[in-house]
Amino acid sequence: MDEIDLHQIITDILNGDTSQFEKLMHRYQRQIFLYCYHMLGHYAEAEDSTQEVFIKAFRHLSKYKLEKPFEAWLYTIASNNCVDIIRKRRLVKYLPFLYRRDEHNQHVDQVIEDNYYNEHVLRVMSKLTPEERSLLILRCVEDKSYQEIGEIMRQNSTSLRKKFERTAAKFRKYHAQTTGGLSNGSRQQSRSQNHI
Amino acid sequence: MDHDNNQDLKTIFNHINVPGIDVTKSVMNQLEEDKMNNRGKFFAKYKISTLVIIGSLLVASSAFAAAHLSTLTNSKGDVVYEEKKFEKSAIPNNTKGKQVRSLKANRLGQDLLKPGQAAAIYMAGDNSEGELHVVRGSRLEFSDSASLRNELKGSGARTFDKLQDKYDFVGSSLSYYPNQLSDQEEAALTDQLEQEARNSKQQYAMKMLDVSKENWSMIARYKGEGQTILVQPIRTNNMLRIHLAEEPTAKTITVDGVEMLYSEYESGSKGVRFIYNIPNSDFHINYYIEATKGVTKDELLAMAKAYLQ
Repeated sequence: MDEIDLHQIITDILNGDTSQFEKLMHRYQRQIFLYCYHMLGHYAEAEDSTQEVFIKAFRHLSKYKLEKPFEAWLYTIASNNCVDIIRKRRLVKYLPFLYRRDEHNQHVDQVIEDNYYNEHVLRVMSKLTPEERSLLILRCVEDKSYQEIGEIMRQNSTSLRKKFERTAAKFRKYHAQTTGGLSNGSRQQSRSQNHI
Repeated sequence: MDHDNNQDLKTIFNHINVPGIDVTKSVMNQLEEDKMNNRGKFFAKYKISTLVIIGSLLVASSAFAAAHLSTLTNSKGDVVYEEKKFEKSAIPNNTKGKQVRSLKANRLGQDLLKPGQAAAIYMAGDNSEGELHVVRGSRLEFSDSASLRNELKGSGARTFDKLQDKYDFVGSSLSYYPNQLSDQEEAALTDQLEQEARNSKQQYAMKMLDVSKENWSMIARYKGEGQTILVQPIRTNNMLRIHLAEEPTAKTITVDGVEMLYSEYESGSKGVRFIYNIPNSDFHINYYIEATKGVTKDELLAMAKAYLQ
């Protein structure tokens, strides 16, 4: 989908042709979902978050500014959405009597699949701030340049490079501590759904 | 240390294939529900505009000088463009069923028609509900200005390779509108297709419409020095009305004797709209040019003047 197509699709949507929004979803939902999955560490939450991102994108489409790449705008919405979810988790941690996950009613397979693919990575990610998490995912999973990340996170690319180097060092340190030298690629099954 | 371009981290994160998802259906259902509940907000104030052709000319009068309307006239003094705040009465009897059928009809147009084609589709609903929809195939794409110029030869529209000697043509898409049906033609077609639709399994019936290439809309994109310019001409002999979520804020200005509507947006981008009257023709071209914030107002207006020559 080139930029002409994209602008035309956006025009059509704003003109009332909602069905065109499906084209945007087909183009971007996989990568947005992957981003949410790594940010939140939970399959089902990532699925919900992806849905929310696209609904928000539609509702605010009239505010999309031409000069910013559409993908960057979408990632910004995804980033803000995930950060909100992470902050809410931290809040309910202190209110356990109000919050109960319905784990016991879920089929066992679903419980396992919902868990992040690697418990060690999950634990390490929980030690990073949402911003650090986002930076790591955009750079290492999405393979974005610092300029692209700058557009998403609304920061200078030079300072992002330094932040990434610090974040990467932090991640490596905690990952080494958590795995105790185990293979980085080994799949781990979680026994619980602890995550923040 | 770069750890070999962070390959170690990439390996950790990309080691596994995460099962895919498809939330398209649930999102589209939610949007449909939103649309039903917030119909007024659907016609958002947008910077890139395409318009609903309503097929009638209105004579300019003092009524249209009211503060809540922005208008442009043609050389005969007829109002050919109007910008106003959306009112629910603009779309009477727009039931949920009707809107869903309209969406489906547009989808069928995209799936079944070739670029540049148009058709009438009757969508049958429950009981005796149903309507005739005019739909189009996808747009014709042009990646070079010469091809576009060739396609639009004789239409009265100008196509530039460059704007202001620094913004290069990047691409464009063109959409032809079908010839307008008279009331009698529409009624006869509706009767014919309704019968076919209700007798069919898929509950719709389609007939191709003639496209004379007189009515069209186009977006051409120019880029240079980090800026983007969109030129959106619409060739028509009808009036166009745009509905906004808020009161229109465009200012009326006069450039070389030609009335224009000029707007500046929060992002810093700016737009100008004006009418080019095609000599010896009932048709005119409604131009809208929008530019990102690095383009000055003077440059934008100079571009507008170039299209009027």
